Amino acid sequence: MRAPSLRLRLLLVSAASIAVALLIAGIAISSMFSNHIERSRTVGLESQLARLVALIDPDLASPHLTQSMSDPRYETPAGGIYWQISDPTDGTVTRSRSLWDTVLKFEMPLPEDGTVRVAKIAGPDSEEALALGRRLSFERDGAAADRVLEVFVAEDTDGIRAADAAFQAELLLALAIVALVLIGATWVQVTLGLSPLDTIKRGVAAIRTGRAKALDGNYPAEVTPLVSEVNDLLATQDRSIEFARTRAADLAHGLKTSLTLLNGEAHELRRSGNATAAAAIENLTAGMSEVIDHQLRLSRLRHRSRSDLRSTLVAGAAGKVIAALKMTPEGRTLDWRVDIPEAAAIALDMMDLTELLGVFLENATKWARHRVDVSARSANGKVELTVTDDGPGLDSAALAKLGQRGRRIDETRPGSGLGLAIGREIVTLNGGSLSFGRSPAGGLQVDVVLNAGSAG
Amino acid sequence: MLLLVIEDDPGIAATIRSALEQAGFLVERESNGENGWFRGDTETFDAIILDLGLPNLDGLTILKRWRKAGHTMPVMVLTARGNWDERVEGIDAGADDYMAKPFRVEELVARTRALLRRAAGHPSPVIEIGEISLDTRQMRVAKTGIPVALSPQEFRLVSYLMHQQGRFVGQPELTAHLYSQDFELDSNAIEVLVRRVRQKLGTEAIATRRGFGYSMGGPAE
Repeated sequence: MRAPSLRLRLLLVSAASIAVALLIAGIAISSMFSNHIERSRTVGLESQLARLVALIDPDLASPHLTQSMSDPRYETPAGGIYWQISDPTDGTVTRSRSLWDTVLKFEMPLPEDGTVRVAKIAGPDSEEALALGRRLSFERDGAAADRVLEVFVAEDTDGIRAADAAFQAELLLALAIVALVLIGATWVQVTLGLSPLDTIKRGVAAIRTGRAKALDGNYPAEVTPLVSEVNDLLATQDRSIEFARTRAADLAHGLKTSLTLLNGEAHELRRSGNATAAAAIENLTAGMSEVIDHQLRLSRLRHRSRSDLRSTLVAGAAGKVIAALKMTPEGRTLDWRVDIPEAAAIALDMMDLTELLGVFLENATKWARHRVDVSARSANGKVELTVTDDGPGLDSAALAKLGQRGRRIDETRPGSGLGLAIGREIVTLNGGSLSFGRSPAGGLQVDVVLNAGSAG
Repeated sequence: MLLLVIEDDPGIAATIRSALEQAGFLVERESNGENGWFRGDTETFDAIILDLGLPNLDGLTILKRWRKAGHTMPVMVLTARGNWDERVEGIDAGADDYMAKPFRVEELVARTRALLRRAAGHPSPVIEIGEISLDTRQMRVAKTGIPVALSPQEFRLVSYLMHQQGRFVGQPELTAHLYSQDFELDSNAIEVLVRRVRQKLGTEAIATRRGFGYSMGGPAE
């Protein structure tokens, strides 16, 4: 199962943290705001209470205000703000008109020392009211004892709750915006944080396609150990491949040295008149040598086709191969006709193109009577290479078998057909096509189509 | 004809040497790159057979150094690898022919002869000067078409002079190309050899020019 995306996980954790933090902040701010409103209302009511106390005329049997309270809401029934003066001795109650016929009641008795008690009580016309009460003693003219009166003011908390609700709505909007900004910032942070991974991905892709040998560039300190590990791994792999190739080459070298010595023995046998045995030994050594070469060449091709993808000029490679073939007894007497535009380039490693031209031109040299033609044409991002000879050619059944590994069409000439199989391998590995046919002169015609290179 | 074989494997070197000696060549051998390069650089050989995989100094580097120094002697390259890029690289470096191991000894000898002929400007395997003809493949010398029996040393002299296209060759050069280094040589050995060949091919076959040496096909004094 695929692990969930790192980006998604980081974003989810951040979003959850932001949500929890903002929720706590929201609750705290909201509660602080409520407390603040309540405190400011309490302060307001304290001054109302002081005003009320100042207006009391304690000498009357029923406590009375010397003048009415200035706030008109006291005079409106259920006006939202109330006052009340009670005489705990005789139970007489004087109250604001706004109280109508209800009585403000505290659950706890008021302190004897005259300090103000603040309490939430049931309002006359609302669920809740903020109330302040104070027990006061008044000296009375000519009376033996002071008059004790309980003085209350109260205000419905509807207003506080409405302000609270409005504040919470605004707070919620503000917190939502903050949350969005924070999540956006987290997204940017995660993207920036993960960007070295993208760079590494591109670097590894460049290594895979042969455009780079190792991860280059500056990486953050946290990623550098990973980059070093990857580079070390690549170096180790390169060394292993090089080691294996060197061992294979050494093995081939050792075997071929022995095969050359065997050929020397064959030479001696022939000199002593045993030509049949000599020829048998030489055929065997030639066959063994081809098998060794084939495997060595294939391992090199596979390795290269995965790595350096380059562009090679066809004319240069063909010229060099023909120069080499002209040094052989067969190649020296042939008429070589070359028709390759100078700019024609194939998207192939120089070694692979040389090998490809080498095997096909060597085959043509082996069979041609007088002449070998090599031509190249570029069209639509492809290059078509054609090699023809004027040799005996092949019938269609033999043509179909040509280039298959180990297929040998004619046993009378040296070689086991492995060369053409290597040619086919190079073309296939590099996404090209290969076909064999009869040349106008009756010999073999080889057509190869490969992607054009950029060098031209 | 004096050849230098630079090959590190003693078995292969012995095989090549014996085959080339049977073919009438004088053969010197070096087994490491450094010595091989030095001898090719300081001595004159008619052709060099150079293995590419050598200790100390690899064959391609040796070949490039010789060519850079202006040495034009024909060089046949031997390699254990059969791939084309190395073959092309060898030719690029200045090789005149290329053979991949394992090669047939007869083919090596035939191609060495062809190399020497080409270097001397003789495209045909049979070189003719006047009545004398030299068949390099058969190692035969004939006068007016009739084969003449020559000793190996006499054959080398005739072969070397006929490859020189009439150039006069001095005694020291002839000594170097006809006798191996460790051969105890009488001071008049070349004169004796020339006299023997003249007895078999006729006095006019080898011309002498005082101070210059001997020639076949060159203007007589």
